[in-house]
Amino acid sequence: MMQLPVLDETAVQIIATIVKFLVVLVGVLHIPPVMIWVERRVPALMQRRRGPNRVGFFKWRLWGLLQTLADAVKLIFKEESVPGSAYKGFFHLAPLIGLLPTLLFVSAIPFGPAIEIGGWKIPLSVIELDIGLLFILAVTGVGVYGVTLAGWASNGKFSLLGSLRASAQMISYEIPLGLSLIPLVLIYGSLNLQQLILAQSSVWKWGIFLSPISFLIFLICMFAETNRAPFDLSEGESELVAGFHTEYGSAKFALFFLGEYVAMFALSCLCSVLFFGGWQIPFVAHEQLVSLTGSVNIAALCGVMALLLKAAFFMWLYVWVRWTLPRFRYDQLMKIGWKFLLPLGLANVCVTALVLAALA
Amino acid sequence: MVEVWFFYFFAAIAVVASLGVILLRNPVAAAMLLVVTLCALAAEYVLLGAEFSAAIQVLVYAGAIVILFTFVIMMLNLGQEEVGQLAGFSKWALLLFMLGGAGVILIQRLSMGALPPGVPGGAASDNTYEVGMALFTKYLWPFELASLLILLALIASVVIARKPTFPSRDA
Amino acid sequence: MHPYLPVLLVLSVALVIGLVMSFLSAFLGPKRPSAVKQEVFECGVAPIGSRERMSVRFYMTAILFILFDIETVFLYLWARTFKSLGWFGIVEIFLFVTILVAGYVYVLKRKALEWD
Repeated sequence: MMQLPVLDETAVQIIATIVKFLVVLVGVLHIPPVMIWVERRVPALMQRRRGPNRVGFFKWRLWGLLQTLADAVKLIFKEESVPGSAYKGFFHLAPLIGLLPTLLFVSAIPFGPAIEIGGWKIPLSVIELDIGLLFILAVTGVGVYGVTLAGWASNGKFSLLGSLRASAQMISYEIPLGLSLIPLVLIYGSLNLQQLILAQSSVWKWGIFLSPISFLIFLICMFAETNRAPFDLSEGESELVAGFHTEYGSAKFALFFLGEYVAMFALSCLCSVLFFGGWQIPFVAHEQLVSLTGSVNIAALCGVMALLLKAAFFMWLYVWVRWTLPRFRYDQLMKIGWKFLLPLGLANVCVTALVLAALA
Repeated sequence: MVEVWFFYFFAAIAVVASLGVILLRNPVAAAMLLVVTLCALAAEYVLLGAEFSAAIQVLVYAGAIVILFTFVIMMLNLGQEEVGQLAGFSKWALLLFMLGGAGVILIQRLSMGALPPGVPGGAASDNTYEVGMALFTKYLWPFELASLLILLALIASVVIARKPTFPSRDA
Repeated sequence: MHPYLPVLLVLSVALVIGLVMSFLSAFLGPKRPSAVKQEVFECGVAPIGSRERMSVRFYMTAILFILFDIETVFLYLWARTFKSLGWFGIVEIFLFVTILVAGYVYVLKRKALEWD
């Protein structure tokens, strides 16, 4: 019989990291097709029309679910057209530069408690850091470059305007985003995402109940950071054609699309982690679940499901809001960010600190 | 010692990228390579166990200050010929200057003997907490002075950028 | 394992897969370039380019972003050590924030944040 090579802790964790990331990547690749389907069928429901329902497999149409698959295939097989006046290198790299930070972001999300395989304890987040929150903020900060570069490298009027608008918007809303999370650090005393989840041990200790203003600010910033309606001025099609990705087509456009949806998913997960107890199932303690199912791994899987369900709600909220609210004007957008959310965020931090100190 | 190899790896990235920052003609390419340099330096900080500084390096320098640079580059929208006028000095002088700098560092290094040992322990302890405690107790006054510095910068930027109040806009 | 090794692993795996994905069309798609196809899109008329200069507001936004970003970083440090510092920390940070709020009010009064 062949002797299996003995693996040490480092080797196991490195292999586990790569496997976990590939699982996350494959999962994340499925988000745009499903979300595009949702984004077409939900407004169709809201507006009493049918939405795409033709593409099918022989006579099974599957509610038009295959339409998005057809779209993806179409995009990849399209001709790639690069504007003659573009800065070629950055034109090709920009979608990638935009995607990498969002992939790092989603890797930092703890999807569940640690599982055990063959005696090895494997945490269910690809990247687990003590400064998780700061890491996520840093990564979102760098994420702006994808948008900026795409517009600049395309070297067209609409691309440049769209990218400047989008990047100015993204950096403006990063400040309230950062401020909105400080009360949580004050309350739970940690920057580690897994510890933040564990601190929300019962429903009444969830972030949304302890710091509702933070949740409000975070929710608004979630929409603004991903350039989604009602903050989608960067691609206001009536004035800017398509914004920073006007010149992009084929697989690179698909990559921008992927980046946007990964960012939405990552922020939805972060929102669930910080304000809704992460992978914890309401009213059921994790230990109870372990003894109920008789296995740490099954309990962990239930946790993953709980987190994904919570995140799915916010993904749906993105669509709901998009088809409900009209777009803001640019001056209104800047006014909300700098004159409403920034002072509100600061006041929220100060009041939380005073209350906590008075209670202690 | 695997960490030493990681150190040399990131150091090489930082050096090559920063050479690109000063030698490239395209201002946006230079700015992007500056981001690469700053991120490589952040990786070095991580290797030293200073994870908070690393995060701040990426958050403030790579994520905010270089954004300002790119905005200014895009705002001015300089053409290739105008940039050429700005970068009018000799590359040889620059090379000489850099070699001189490297020589000075080398002499200093050789005269110093062995390097002092780095911070042990890697990222085992909570670096953020330690930095915070040091800043808010031992370095209290520098911290408060920093706020004055930011205040000055706020006022200065507004003064530079605001519309001239004389003559008034409708005049 | 160093806790930051996964960051490097994720970056390198994502870089390889991302590069493959972004050049997928270059291999799979047709290539029939033409002069008109390679013009930038300006609603169908011959493009006149994008050489005009941008509003100074964008510069203002970026510089204010840097300054408030630094403030946020300090606030994070304080928040992490809040439980140990207590009232002492609060007094310190309130002094810090008050000075910055003075700057913020100045910016507002100077109408540097108006987008008209």
